[in-house]
Amino acid sequence: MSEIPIEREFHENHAEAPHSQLGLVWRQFRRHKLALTGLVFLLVLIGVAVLGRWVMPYDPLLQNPALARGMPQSPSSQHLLGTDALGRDLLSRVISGAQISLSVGIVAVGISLLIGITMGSLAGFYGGWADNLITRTADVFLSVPSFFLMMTVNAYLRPSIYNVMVIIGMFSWMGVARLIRGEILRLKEMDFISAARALGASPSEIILQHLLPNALAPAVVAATIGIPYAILLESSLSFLGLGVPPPAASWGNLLFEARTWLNMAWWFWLPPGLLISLTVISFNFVGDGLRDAFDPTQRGR
Amino acid sequence: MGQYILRRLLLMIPLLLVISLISFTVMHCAPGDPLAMYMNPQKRSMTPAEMDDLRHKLGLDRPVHVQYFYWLGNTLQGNWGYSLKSRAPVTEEIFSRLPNTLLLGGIAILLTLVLAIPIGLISAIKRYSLIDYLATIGAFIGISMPGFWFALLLIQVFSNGLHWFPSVGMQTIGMDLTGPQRITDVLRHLVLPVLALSVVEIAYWARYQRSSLLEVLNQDYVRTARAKGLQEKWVILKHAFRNSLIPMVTLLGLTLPDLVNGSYIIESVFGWPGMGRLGVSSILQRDYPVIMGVTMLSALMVVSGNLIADLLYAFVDPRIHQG
Repeated sequence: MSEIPIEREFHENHAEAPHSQLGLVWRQFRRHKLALTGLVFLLVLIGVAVLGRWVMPYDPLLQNPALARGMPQSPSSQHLLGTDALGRDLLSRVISGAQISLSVGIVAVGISLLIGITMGSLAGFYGGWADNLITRTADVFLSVPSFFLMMTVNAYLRPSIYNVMVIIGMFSWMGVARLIRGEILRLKEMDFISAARALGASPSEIILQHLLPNALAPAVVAATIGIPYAILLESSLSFLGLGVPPPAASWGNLLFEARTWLNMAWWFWLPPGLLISLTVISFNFVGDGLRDAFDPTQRGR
Repeated sequence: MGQYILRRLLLMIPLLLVISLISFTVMHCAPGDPLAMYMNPQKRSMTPAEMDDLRHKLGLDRPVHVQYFYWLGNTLQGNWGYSLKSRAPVTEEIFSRLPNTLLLGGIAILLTLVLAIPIGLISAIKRYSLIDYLATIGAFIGISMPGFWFALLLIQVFSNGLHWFPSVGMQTIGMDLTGPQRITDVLRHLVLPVLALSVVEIAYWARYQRSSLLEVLNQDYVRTARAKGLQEKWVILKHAFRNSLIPMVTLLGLTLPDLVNGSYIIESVFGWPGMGRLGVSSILQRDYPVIMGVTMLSALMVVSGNLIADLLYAFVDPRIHQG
């Protein structure tokens, strides 16, 4: 550092180093090559899913029996990923699958964050019997055969995409709650909280305005890691016919339908599985990158 | 220690009660008639009066909480009722399939240990080498792939493509094999489901073993062992490796629920005649006595898996005893 002329260093600081917290995080995140690649992939995927109907070559539910004659048709210039046995365009169905799988993942994690942050804040802030009750409840949820219960609940409530979101959210808040509880326990003894108390802030003000904003980073990382987990759960449920109901096309659903044609229609079962894997791995890389970027001890390395 | 085990065993009882209450309530309060599947309007197999009679015999006309205590009382006497589909006792249905599930899961754990621990060990010792990078990439792929999709890949490549291994069932149908031939036949049927079930676990365990050993290698006693002039081979085998195994025991507590969850999907894909496939098909057929049985047995397996992991942890790490 000492060899660099002072003038240039000054200049660089102005041009390169943003002073905001977010800027620091982004600068750190950018160094994580895999995380950056994952982020690019996810942005493209989300872009395609949001554009939806405008980029789908056909209506994903439109059947064309005359074309298919009861057999999946291999890729052609009209249908880039071929069609399924009912003549539905598979590229359109894979895009529609991206919409469904991503929204299930995001909403389910949203629900789990909502429950987890509420539970974790209450347990950490109040302690005592509230902490005991919440920790015990989390223990129960951690030791139930959750996947089997999800299948049962879903089957008995008539499968629907909303049920899938709620059920996955309800069975995956425990990690977030534990994390937030720990953060709150750590933060609540600090001076700035005592100051807020002395100024007469109510418990809800302390939690919402002072404690939670400081516990945000681990929650963001937990959410990023939670989404791929929810996507895997949704696809497993759908693959067993107990998730998103047909004719809607989630990636798990597509694989459920493709299973019958395993030996003859690779274009049917290869793309959804690859997309699930790539999405899951990308979210994991981005989560890793964010964890490092939020960690002040990693800065400047 | 004895008191600790007893306390943990007693804590299992309320836990299992809560789980049974939740699943019972869900199934019995859900809209729809559990017998609707068995009334075929075309064939007129049952008149409405006969349906009412059957409903009364099965106790389905009573309030839900009465039905629950009735179920609980029967459960305590080892009676889980009869399957609506096969009419066989639920205990018989489940316990005839349980050994197959345990065989599948047991071999999957064994394969995980045998493969993942050496991979993690080598990755840590030769950190940032080609082998380490390959293992890392492999682990990321293993963690990201959905198990059922990996199962489909395995079937396509090794069964449909190369014809090396069968993809359905536990034995070759129509061949009445005995003795060693039968064992070989079952083993051949085991290969693909075991691989599909354990790939995620191998990935996790290898990563965990790698970071665990790297952490131990920084400890003072490892430096001491090196300082006294011990060969690196012995430093790792006698000092570092054994201590790096301690945190791995907690992973065992997470692996058992994973394997129970995985068995539903993998057994369904491979037509493996185990408890997992029975569970899925009973859900698809709304066969609630069987669903209750599978729920309770899975819960028992998950809960006792956690207990075994905790006990093992206390056993390998004497510092836990007092805590």
